[in-house]
Amino acid sequence: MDMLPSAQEEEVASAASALLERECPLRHVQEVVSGSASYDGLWAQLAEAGWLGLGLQAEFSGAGGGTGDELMLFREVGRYLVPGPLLGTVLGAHVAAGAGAAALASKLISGDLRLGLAWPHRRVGQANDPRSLSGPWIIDGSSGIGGLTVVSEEGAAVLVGEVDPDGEPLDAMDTVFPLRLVTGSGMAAMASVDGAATFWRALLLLASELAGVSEAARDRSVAHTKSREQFGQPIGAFQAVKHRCSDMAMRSESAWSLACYAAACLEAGLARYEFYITAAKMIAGRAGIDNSRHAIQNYGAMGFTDELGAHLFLRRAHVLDDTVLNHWELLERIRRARPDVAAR
Amino acid sequence: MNLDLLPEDEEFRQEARAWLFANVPSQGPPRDLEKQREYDLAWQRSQYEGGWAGISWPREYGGRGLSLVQQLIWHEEYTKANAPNIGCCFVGINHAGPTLIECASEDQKSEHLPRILRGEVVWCQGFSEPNAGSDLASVRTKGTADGDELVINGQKIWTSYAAIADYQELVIRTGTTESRQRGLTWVICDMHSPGITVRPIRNLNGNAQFAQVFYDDVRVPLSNVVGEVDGGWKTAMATLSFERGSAFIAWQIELSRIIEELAAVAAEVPGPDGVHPAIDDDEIGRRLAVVRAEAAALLGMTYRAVSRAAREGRPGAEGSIIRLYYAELVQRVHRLGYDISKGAPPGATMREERTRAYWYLDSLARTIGAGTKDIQRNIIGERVLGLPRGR
Repeated sequence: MDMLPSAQEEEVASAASALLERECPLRHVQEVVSGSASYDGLWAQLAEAGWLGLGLQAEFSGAGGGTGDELMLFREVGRYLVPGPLLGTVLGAHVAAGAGAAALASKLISGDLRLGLAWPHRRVGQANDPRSLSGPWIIDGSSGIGGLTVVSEEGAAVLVGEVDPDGEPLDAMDTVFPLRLVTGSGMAAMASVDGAATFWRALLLLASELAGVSEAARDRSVAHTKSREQFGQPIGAFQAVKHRCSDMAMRSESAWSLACYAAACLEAGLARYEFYITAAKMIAGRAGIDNSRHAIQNYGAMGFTDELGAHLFLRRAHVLDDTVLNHWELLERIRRARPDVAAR
Repeated sequence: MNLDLLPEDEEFRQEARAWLFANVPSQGPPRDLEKQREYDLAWQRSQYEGGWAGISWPREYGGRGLSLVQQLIWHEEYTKANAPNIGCCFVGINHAGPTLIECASEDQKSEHLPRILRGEVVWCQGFSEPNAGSDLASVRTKGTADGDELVINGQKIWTSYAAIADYQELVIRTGTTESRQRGLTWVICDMHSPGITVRPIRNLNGNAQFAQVFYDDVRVPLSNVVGEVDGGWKTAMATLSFERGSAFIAWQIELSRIIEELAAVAAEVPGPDGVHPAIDDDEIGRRLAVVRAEAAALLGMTYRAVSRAAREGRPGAEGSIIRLYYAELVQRVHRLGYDISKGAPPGATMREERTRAYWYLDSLARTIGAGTKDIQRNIIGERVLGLPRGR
C-alpha cells in the first residue's frame, strides 16, 4: 500500500509542469481569455508530448500509462489553468479505444481532432441517451472543437461534426471553457461504449484538476503573503492571514489525498470506488472554489483586478465544479450511498 | 499510487483479527477511575501476553516493531473488533514510552519500559500549568538542585488520570525565571512521592478524570532527568512530536462508524417537519453527506501520511493538518448527531451508553487539548507553508 506517486507518476507530473511552466504561464491564459492569443500552439505541444494518449494502450497509439498517471497530469492541468478541451479529447480517445476505433483514437491522440466534453442537461421527466444524438447537453464549448465526447452513467459516445451553432451560452463564468447548452443535431456518432467507466474516469480527473487549482491558489497566496508587507512585516505573519492560508493547505491536502485514494480504489477494482470518486469530486470542488476565493481576499484590492488574474482560478474552479455532476448532484448521491461502501 | 498489500500483510491481518476476536473483553471499561485503572492495565497485560504490546516500539525495547502498514492494519482490526480504548495507558504507550526510547539512558529504559508494556504502571503527563497552556515555555514549576536530588515546588493542571498514575512525565523549570525554553528539565516523577497532592477537576460532562497536581518539596533523584538538566525543551519537543501516525486510523474508522450510525438513525427518526425521516430534510441530509465525504478525505490523508512516513522514516509536518481536520470534523459530526437526535425518543443512547448530548459536549475538547486549533493553524502556516512568525 502506497498512497504516494510512483517514480513513473512523479515523472509524468514533472514533465507536465516543466512544459506548462514554459508554455502556459498565467499571462498566456489571460491572452487566450481576452482573445489576443489562441491555445493552438500549446495544444500542439501537449499532443506532441503524448498527453492525449497518456492512458491508452500502445495498440491505440497511447503511452500505456495508468489511472495514476492521468491523475498526476490533470492535477498539473488544473494548476496551470490549461486552456483547451483536454478532458473531452482524452476521454474521447478512451471511448474510441474502448470501441476498437483505432483510426479515431489515433486522430484524437495526434491532436488533429478536438472534442468538447458534454454531459446530459437534466430536465424533469426526460431521459437522456447519449447515443440518441438529441441531447440536450451542457458542453465545454472551447474554440476549435470538431465534435463532442458525451458522457453519462449509461455510456459514452464520440460525436463529430459542427457543434450546434445555436447553442445557448450559460452563465459566463469561464470564457476559456464557455459552457453552452446544445443538441446533437447534425452530428454523427463515430464510437460509443456502454457502461459507466468513462463517467467515473471523468469525475476522477475533474477531482484531480480541481485539486490542482486549489493548490495553485494556495501557493500563490502563500508567496504573496510572504512578500507583501504592511505595518512593518509580511502580512503572512498576521494570524488571520496565516490561518486563512493554513485552511487552504488543509483543503488542498484533503482534496488531493482523497483523489489519490479514489484512484487507488478504481485501479484495485474495489466496489467502493464510486463512493470515493463522488466524494473526491465534491471535496475538490469546494477546495478549488474556497481556496481561489480566499486567495482573492489575501491579495487585497489587487485581487479584485483583471490584471492579476486571481479571478481566473475561481472561474475555472466553478466551471469544473459544475462539470458532469455539480455540487448538489454529488451531495445527493453521497447522502443516499449505502453504508457498507461509505464506511469501508 | 496503489492499495496492494503484501501476502505477509494479509496474513498479519488474519492473525490480528483472530487474536482480537478471541481476546477482546466482552464488556467496556468501568466508569469508576480505580476500576478503570485495573481494567486498562489488565487489557494491556493481555495484549503483552499475546505479543501485541508496543506495536510501534522497537523490538530491542520489547515492542513488536511492526512496519507502518502493519501498524495501520492492527489499528483497523482493533477498532473493527470494538477493542477497548487505550484509556489510562495512553501516556505510557504513546507519549512517555516513546520519549524514553528516544531520549532516556539505558538504565532509565530498562527500569521503565518493560513495566509500561506489561501493564504494570500508569503514566500521566505534567506539562500544562494554570499560566502555561499553549505557551509551554513559560512553565514555572520549579526544580532546585539539592545534592543528588531535585526539589520540586509548583503545580500542574489538566493532567489526565493523575489520581491513578504511578509516574509522570514532568517538565519543570531549573533555569532562571526568564530562561524560557532554555531552562527546562524533563523528569520522571514518582506520583507516590511525599508532597504530591492531586485535586481532580470536574469537566463539563461531570467526569473528574483530569486534575490539578501540587508539588510541595517533592524530591526527585537527578537520575530521573531524561536528557540534560536545562535541556528539557528538546525532550519535550520529542514527546509532542509523537504524532498518532498510524494510530490515527483508529479515530478515523471510529468516526466513520459514528457517521453511519447517524445515517441509520436519520433514516428512522422524524426530521424538522415532524413527519418525514430526518435524512429527507435537505439540511440534515446534506450535512450528513458532507461529513461522510470529509471522513473519506480524512481516510485518504491518513493513508498518505502513513505512506510518507514509511518512505521518509518519520511523520511529516502535515500531521498537524490531519489532527486539526479530525478535531473540527468530529465536532461537526457530534453536533449533527445531537441535531438529528432531537426527533429520537428520549433516552436513546450510543456507545458506552452515553447520550448524543454527552458526546457533542465532549467533542469540544478536541480543538483545545494537545494543541488548540489556533496553535495548530499557526504550526501549519509556519512549518508546512513557511509563513513568518508574528512579532
